Amino acid sequence: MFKVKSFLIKLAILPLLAFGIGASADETCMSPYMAKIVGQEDFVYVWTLGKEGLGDEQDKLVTIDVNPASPDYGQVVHTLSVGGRNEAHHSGFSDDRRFLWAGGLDTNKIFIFDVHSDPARPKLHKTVDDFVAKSGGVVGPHTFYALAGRMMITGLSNNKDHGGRTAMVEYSNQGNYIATHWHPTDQDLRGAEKTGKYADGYGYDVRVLPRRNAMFTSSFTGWTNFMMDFGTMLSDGEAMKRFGNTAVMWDLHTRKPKKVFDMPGAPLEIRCAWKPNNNYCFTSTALTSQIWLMYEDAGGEWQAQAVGDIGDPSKIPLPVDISITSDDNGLWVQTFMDGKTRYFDISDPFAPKQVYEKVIGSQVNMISQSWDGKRAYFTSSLLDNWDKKGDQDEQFFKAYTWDGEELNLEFAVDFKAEKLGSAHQMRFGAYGLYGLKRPYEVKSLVADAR
Amino acid sequence: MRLSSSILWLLGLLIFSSPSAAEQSGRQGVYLAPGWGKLSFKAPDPGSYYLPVMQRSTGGKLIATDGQQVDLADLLQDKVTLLSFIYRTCDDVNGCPLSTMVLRTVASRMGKEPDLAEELRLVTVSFDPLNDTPAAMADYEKAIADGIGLDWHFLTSESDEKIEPILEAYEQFVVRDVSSVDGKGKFSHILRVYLIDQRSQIRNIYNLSFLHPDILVNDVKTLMMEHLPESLAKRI
Repeated sequence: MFKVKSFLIKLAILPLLAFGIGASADETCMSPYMAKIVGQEDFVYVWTLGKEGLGDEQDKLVTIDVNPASPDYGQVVHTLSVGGRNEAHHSGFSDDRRFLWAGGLDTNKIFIFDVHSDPARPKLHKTVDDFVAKSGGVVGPHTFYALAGRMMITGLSNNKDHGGRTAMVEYSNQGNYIATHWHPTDQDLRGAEKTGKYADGYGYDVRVLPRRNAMFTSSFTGWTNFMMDFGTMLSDGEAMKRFGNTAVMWDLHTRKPKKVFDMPGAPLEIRCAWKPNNNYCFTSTALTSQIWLMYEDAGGEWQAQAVGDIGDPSKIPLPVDISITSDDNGLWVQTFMDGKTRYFDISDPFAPKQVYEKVIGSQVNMISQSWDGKRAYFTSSLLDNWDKKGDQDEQFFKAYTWDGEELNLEFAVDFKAEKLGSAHQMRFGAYGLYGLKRPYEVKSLVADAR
Repeated sequence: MRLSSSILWLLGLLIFSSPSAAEQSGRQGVYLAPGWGKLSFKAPDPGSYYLPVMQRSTGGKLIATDGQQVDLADLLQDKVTLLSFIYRTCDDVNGCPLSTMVLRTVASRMGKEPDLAEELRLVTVSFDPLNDTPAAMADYEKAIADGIGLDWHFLTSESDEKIEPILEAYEQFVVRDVSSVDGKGKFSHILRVYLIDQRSQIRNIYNLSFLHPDILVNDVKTLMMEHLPESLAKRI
């Protein structure tokens, strides 16, 4: 726990506190309740799936030094295995950014890492292993989204039928259960307005717009599907019917669902705009390959609308992670099947235009971009049983710079060659968040200034 | 300057803010927290929602403005309490002045409903015992709460060592800013206000986004309604 007596740790949080706690896949997609790194990040923490036959086969938090001024630049500087495989997936910082919460979709364990005591060497602070029981049957802790003094955790499934009906679960920053918020269904809309055909009760991601007292959730699929072999599932007609077709707008303060929107084809990551008057959020549908916009209309009503295609939807490119730029003008979209990242101009949010694409690898899932948009990091893994097979199952972390026209590869870490596992979600760390001085001299200010 | 560039690494838009941060984010002008203006949405009606228990509150030895020792735990029971941690000389417009202004506005509004006002307590605790002596807090109380007619306690402590366990229990992170002019007069801190129910349980934590009188008043009334007979609750 935090020890105020420690002068060093007092210093450690100084910059964080001076400029506040104000953010998830990346620096531009984090909770607005969280401090952000707007300059050069020192580390990327990669929540990594253990892989049978590879290294210690355990899930692990991999720390990569990404500061070009560091003598360890481009190197894995630390790994922390958590014991066994849990289907490591997503992670998120607490609102004070001192702890990183990371979930296992299969075992339902939540690992809380201390990243502030020594940002280069995270420590396992606490493990929550009663998530299902405490939450009343929620399975598959997915998104970890910081709210004031607490963590909102989205579930993907339930322990009754292991299908897609699920809930959001609130925990205190200390790791104690607070409440469960079930998604609205046809059987129990919980006061929400059903605006279309569906109210499936599925869940996936969560984001908020505090200035509008609005919270948004998307929908994926249950444990039975996300743990199934991808090829087997694709050929199983019944399984393919069990994907979410909804997004929900909630009252953030009361946690009550307000509107259920039809959004066919599994809407996944949600990214909300930053500018004070840009009252809208994007998501993309995995199976139907569309960009959707949830927006507040002139009458103050929330609406949802498909605003563009991603690649050729008939080929099912499978869009996965997305990332909005901090100026609300750009949206990175990864398509897993062709291993591409695509950059959309979203200056008109109702008419996104793809202006760039690049193949990152045989498969690609997550992206984390810096607040200034000049650096972008990519990882490869989707789900253990959904990743490609054989030589096509590349597992990597790749660091690029972006000059506005081209992504340039700076370095890559081969997670197979390094016997680490399958690389999934990334989070940024920095000494400066906690007032700590870097243990090396930054000889040039160029790194900070760019 | 090197120091400036390192500080500019960090941008916190919502709990703390600064013009430079606002400009860096592409926003124009000085960012003022929602609490300073009209709430941009209608606060949910009292009693129309439930605030789940987050955790038990924590006590600790503090000092009142008359120099008498008090246990914070004694002030966090029987009534609904709004608890804030401040330092008297804080000049961050979105910091302590904001929380004090919001509490004062809540007190003023609740004061118009005396029956309800009796069931509300405000507690303001300084984390700067060096400068915020009991006498100084008495002056602060007079400036802030004189004539407000509400059960409002202004507390300080004997030393940093005495207040630290309380701050730690509330995860109220406070750092004396050694880089300030005299090295002891400024703090960096997370802005949080705690809503505590009649059973000493924390029911909400407010940061910059939701620290607004409209929301606090309705949350306070929501907790009060839990303890009133239905006939009386309807009057709220």
